[in-house]
Amino acid sequence: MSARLAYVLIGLVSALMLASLLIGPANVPPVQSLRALFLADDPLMALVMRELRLPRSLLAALIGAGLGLSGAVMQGYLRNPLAEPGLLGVSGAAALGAVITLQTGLASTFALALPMAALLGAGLAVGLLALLAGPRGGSLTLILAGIGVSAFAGAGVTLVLNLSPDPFAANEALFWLMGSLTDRSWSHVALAAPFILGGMALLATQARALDALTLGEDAAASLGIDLVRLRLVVMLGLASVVGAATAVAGAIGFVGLVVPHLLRRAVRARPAALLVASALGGAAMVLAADIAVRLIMPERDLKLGVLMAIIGAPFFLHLIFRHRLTQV
Amino acid sequence: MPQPENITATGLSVRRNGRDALRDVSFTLQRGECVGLIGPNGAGKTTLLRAVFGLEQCEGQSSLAALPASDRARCAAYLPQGRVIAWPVPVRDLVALGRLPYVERGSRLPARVADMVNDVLAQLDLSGFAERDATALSGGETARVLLARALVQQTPFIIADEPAAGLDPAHQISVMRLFHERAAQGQGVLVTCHDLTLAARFCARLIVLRDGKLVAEGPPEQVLTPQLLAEVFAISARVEATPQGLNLSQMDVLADLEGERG
Repeated sequence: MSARLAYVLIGLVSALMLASLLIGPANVPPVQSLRALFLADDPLMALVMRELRLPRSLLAALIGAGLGLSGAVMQGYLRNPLAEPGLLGVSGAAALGAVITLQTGLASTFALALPMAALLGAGLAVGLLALLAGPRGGSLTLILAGIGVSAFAGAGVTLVLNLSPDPFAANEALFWLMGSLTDRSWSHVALAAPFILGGMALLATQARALDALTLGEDAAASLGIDLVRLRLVVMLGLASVVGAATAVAGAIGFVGLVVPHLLRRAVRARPAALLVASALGGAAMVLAADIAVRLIMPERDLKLGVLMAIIGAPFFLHLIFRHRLTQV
Repeated sequence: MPQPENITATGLSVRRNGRDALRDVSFTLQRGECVGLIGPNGAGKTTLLRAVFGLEQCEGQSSLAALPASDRARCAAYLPQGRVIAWPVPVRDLVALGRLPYVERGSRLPARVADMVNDVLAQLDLSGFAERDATALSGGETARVLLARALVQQTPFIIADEPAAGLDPAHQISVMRLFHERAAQGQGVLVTCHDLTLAARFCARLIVLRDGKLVAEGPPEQVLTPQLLAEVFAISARVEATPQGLNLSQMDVLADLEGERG
């Protein structure tokens, strides 16, 4: 990644992080807000800044970075610009775990019951993937296994909603599925951060392997890349990042698909450089979207996942259209 | 690591879908020789190269496949038949991937790699392409860029699967001549090739495969007899020795001739 692009992206993330800290329903002037972050002379505002806005902003940046990186890894691994982190079915399984806790009332027994159940779902999905795809085999087997897990988890979610005796619980689950960062606390950060950061560190070790895969699997293997290990690391790292992100924020799509697309030209398509750029770009995108849901209809609690899809889908269509033009 | 003087394959066999794709093939590739691997489609040439490299599950031993992956990558470069370039990276960066085996984990490519890449691109007539997108090349340019990637690896051995396929005659000759020269400089080259005249001219030794078995091995003049061409390739051909090497005129397909006679 060129130094200029790095500066631009880091500047963008910093600016959005700051904006995210300063914008909220409390409507306090910026200087006072920032002051409350460090000094406790206004106890109420200090509470708002430290316990509400700061964890929310951090989560947005963390989740965005994780999903952006995961998308770049997935596209590099499959050598396909249409791949995205959700393909492995981990987010679907995490959602199933969450919906079950909402439906059974387990979610209200203690604060982290829902995200923990979601993580458990993600963990089970990885186990199932490993069983289905086996220790050897190419990327295609892994994706087919992922589609299977994804379909099963999706069916599970609809089944739970279908059999729900309580329309309020079903409604709550439906809203949760839309994805949001509203009212997330430090305990959410503490739960998700180790998985997201650990997963990202794991994925980053495979940068060289993804570069080599540009030449195809045989040539990469002949250059000394261990493809079996690559697959294992991709599977575990992705599950860790996506599982934790889904657990605390619900399903947030399109980041992993769109961000690597947006930045590919800027890094001249080098897969390893795209990893860092996509992590920064993802953080910027989720921060921006989370600011947008607070500015557009703040009273209606517009969901992050919905906004992302509304912006993402037309953008995706535009990409396909442009792709078609360059292909012909 | 001291580099080996030869690559030895002993009794390589591969079974695929209940059929012998390769049966008990043994050979040795010395440094300083250019060996051509020939045979009709489906004879097992690619399977043999992959087995020698350890990319194929097989019985038997290959001294190359026995090496740890990182040592193997510094001992031999492999140019696969399928010409894959997945992303529109600059040609220069794609070729530099050949230096990956020499880079310690996480560190950047040293600056002198740029010089190596420039040298190899110049050798292959590709100097003007360094900054182009690697996916925006013609078929022949793609083939040469990928060959450049294998050459920049600077290994004692090069194993190339159909490097000349799809090139125009001038580039076919220059690619084969380049392998010939690399052998003269001390590298060991194993190359598959469908153009028998080119193989005869630039390879000191030929290995002939048919139905997964090694059926002949030796200098081109001994191997490429009209009888062998009829048996292995099912063609009739006139073979002449010329000062430039063997000249093959491929005349007709034998099965068709018989069909017409019948």
